[in-house]
Amino acid sequence: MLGNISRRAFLWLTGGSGAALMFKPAQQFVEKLIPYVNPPKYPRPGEWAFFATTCRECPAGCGMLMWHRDGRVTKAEGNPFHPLNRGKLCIRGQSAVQGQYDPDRLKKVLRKNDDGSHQEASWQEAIEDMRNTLIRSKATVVSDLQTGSMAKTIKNFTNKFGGRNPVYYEAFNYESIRKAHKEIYGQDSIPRYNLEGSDLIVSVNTDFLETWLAPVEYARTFGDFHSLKNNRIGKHIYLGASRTMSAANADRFIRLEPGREAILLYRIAQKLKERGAIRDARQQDMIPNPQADAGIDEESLEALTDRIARARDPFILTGSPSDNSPQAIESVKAGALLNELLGNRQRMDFAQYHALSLANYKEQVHEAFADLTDNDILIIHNTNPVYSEPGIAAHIRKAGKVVYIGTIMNETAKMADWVLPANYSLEEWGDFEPWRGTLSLMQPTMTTIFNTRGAGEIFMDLNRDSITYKDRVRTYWQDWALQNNGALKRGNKALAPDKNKQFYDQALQSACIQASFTPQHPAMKRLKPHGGALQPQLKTNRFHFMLYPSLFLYDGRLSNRTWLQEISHPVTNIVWQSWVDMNTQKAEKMGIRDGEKITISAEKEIIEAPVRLNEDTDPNTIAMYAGQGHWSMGKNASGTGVNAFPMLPPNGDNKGVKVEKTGVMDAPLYLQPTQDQHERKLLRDVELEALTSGTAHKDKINWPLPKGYDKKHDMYEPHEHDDHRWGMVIDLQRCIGCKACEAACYAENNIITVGKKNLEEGREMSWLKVTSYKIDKERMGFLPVPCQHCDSAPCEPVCPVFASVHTEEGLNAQIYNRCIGTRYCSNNCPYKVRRFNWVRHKHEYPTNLQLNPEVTVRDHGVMEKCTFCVQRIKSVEQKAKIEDRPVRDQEVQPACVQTCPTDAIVFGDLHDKNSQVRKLYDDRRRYQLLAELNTKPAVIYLKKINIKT
Amino acid sequence: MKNVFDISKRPITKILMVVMLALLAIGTWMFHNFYESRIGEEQPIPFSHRVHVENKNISCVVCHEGAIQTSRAGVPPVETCMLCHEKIIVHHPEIQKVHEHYNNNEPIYWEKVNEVPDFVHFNHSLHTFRQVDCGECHGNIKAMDRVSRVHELNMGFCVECHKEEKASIDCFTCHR
Repeated sequence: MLGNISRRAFLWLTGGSGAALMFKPAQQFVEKLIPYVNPPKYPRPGEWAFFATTCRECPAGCGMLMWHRDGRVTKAEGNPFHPLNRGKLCIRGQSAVQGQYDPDRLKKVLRKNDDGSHQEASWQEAIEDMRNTLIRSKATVVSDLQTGSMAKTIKNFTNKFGGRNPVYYEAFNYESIRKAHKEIYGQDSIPRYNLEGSDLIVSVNTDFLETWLAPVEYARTFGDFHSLKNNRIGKHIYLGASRTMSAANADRFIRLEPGREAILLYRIAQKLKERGAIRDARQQDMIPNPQADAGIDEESLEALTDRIARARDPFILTGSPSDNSPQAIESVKAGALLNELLGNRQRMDFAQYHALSLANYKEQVHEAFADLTDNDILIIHNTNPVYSEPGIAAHIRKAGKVVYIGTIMNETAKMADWVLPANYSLEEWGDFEPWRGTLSLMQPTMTTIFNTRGAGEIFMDLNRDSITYKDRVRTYWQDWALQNNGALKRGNKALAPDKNKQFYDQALQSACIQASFTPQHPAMKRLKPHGGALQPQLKTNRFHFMLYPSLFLYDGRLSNRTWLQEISHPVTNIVWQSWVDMNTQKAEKMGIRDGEKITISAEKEIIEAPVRLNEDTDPNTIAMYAGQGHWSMGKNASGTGVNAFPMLPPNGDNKGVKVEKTGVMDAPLYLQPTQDQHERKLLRDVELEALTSGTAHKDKINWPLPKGYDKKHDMYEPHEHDDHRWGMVIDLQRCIGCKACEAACYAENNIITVGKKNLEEGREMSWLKVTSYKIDKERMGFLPVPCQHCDSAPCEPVCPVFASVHTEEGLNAQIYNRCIGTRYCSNNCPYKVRRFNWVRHKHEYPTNLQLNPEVTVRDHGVMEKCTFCVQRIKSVEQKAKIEDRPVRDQEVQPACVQTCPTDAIVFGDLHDKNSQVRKLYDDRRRYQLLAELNTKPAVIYLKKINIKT
Repeated sequence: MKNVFDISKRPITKILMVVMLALLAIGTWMFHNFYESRIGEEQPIPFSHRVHVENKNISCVVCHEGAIQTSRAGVPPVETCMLCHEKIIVHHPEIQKVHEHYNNNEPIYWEKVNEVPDFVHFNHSLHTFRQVDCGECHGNIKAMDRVSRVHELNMGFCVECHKEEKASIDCFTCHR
């Protein structure tokens, strides 16, 4: 355009703009000040308020504390008073706000047209039409797992309209555990497993750190279990088909072909009996003697037995969320038997069974769908069987009328005649009882943002109930508390269920009522091994198919959230994609290259995905993570990755899958190109023996304080910090790589997500990056890298505009309004923790409601980085100043520290001699990242402990 | 023909011109510096700070209670006006308007006068805690009928005072 400009136009333009520049434009405030008419007492404008509720992102039911500001929630945090997660939250819980503010959320009532498209309608029309249909047809309600008030509401509804039982459909229903326990204990349930106090955990294909009943609870326990205290440390052995996150955190990872778990465990039991190492002899005559190959060589089996026999208090974990094959059931039985023999009966409490014990079996779900006829109205609430259960769609079509009640337009909703937008769990009253005896309460943390209604309210409206759903919820809590009055736990004793107002206020503040029941450890009835299960036969040229629930996306319900797509998978570092884990040697034999697409075919279905070749996967197995490959669920989930659910055998009958090469390369995107350390020793470890014997060498560190100044080596004078000098310690032994910290950082600091294309160009924005490295051939570890807040930071002297400055409290600050984007600082940063914002990101409605008002929203062209959550530091300092007291140790909790399930990160003031962080600076395991550069980082790492097992 | 507009030949006109220009300049300068109740934005209701603060001697924090409690001083809700005007001067047409807002539960949309950019995180309560007078930044509100901006609330203004008072001039104090 500029090439064609005429001379006259040029003069006109320059003259005009020059004249315009001469006059200072009149400042006009477009902003208005709109005060309340009648202000609420709480929360006050411009101040944080906190609402306690329950996380419903997966069936674990952790307690959440929502940060609320001016009518909207901005961040999810763990509720410190909740007995399960005690203030910690996993990545899924952290992403709850993205679910609430998903631009693809259902915003209005939709009615299906004849051509299959949907058109807007009103609530009244929908309810009228449903009422008319309900008069003449029977209702089938399929819902995600519900307990308490919602279960009661749905039950009332189905009782009135047809009398069918509600179907609770969960894609991961832990059937194998329940079926096995039914057989041997007569209890069709998942007991509460107590890992506390154990010194050896042997998990057999059980990923208890990612998705196994209660991820945060187990991660928290594991953090304590796996750290050195009084010269004692818990050890973790993982036997499984692939290197999952739990396997990556094992002190020994043993590759095991799926289907051989039970044989292996029975063999160990036999060996223990031979050695006379059985601690509880009651069941020792039950041990079967399978002849088949145990999957590992005799020597390893002997060593493993030896290890278990020597342990003080070993515990075997078995059972998988997705694998329902007879072999998986047998493995749970074998695990239970072994635990009995090891005297672990009290570690499984059947009185506090998990809510997932109430979900329906897969065959029950299929039956319910198969029974549908034209006379039926099918109401699906908040679950997506069309995506995760192949073959269901055909049955749904048979139903006379299909109604979907949920929060997002997914594959199932697409098929519905009516799509009713429901309140998100953060906008709702409710309750959930994850373990029996722990009633976790839900309250609205903000008002609704779209034209939505509560699902419970819809059911009760159709039912013509006289009370509101809120009343039902509250009555339910009260009844629950009254019923369990004698059993209420100590903290809840003060609750007065008979005094309404007082009871609600107290209950809502902790958002959890707990009752303690006498633990139940039923005696093992009989154990008759399932013949076929002990002789696994894989047809030639077939592979076992392992489907792992993704730590991030769970069963696919969370796939539309950009944080979960953009934060890389802990072990593989792959983003925005699906991949297949396959054994390198096996692939070479088949001529499959790394990154090549392969086709996987089960009986009827075929999928196509790229492979990631590695040594850790069993040669006869291919493994995938669930959750990707939606074809119609929001713009981030749709078309991203591949849906692996169709590969699961429909009735748990594992016949194996066929694999063929395609020759097409489509390598997944690895955010971290290599896990090899190239001998740079970024992630260090120390022998356990060296620590226990006291011979461990203590690394010298360059203190980020004036005492670290050395005339010979330093060019610049040291920094004096008058009040505080903030520092951080990260314990690599505790870090399990779950990446909850990364998500917390995204939420707290208004970090944008940039999408796959930008990531390919290296434009990722995560301020904190949890990297994973191989330590040796067997073990790997996780290294979280935030900004190191160096005392002689290489980024500071190179900034031409003083946007990168050292603050009075030792933080390395980036001042966004000053930054002109030269990127010199990033070039000079050896840790590569500075992020340049390349993308003009539009915070579209309603995602803008999630933005933290305490943190500046950056635009493109600006460098940004970790600030140690300076807004939190300042708010604590200001509070202390007004209360006229010093800042207490651990009072400042950056978002990553706050959420870390294993307490791997400690933050505090280095000037305070008694602070936790200052003490850890003197720990024997301390080291600094790239210390040889003399940058004097304020982030100290504690070496991982190399435990020989 | 004699040019009647040719004033250059008449010295008295010249002097008069200079004097007039000088007066204009002095007047303009005085207008900006002496008469503090410069007229600010027109507000939906002509609330007079002069009447309430000077004549009635009401303290700032009676209405702007946030100034000593939270980061934001806040504009009082309509309810606060009604504390007095439910009984006092009920029939004044402008106060009738306030009543209407109150009865119809409609907030009043006030024009914003003082403004700091989004990347500055200012906390009122910390400043009032350190006994900084409201007038330091907001000017002599007592004398203003319609509130206007007295100080350009730019960084120089903030830093100058912070230096004088030996308060922190760290970047992270305000920019995060």
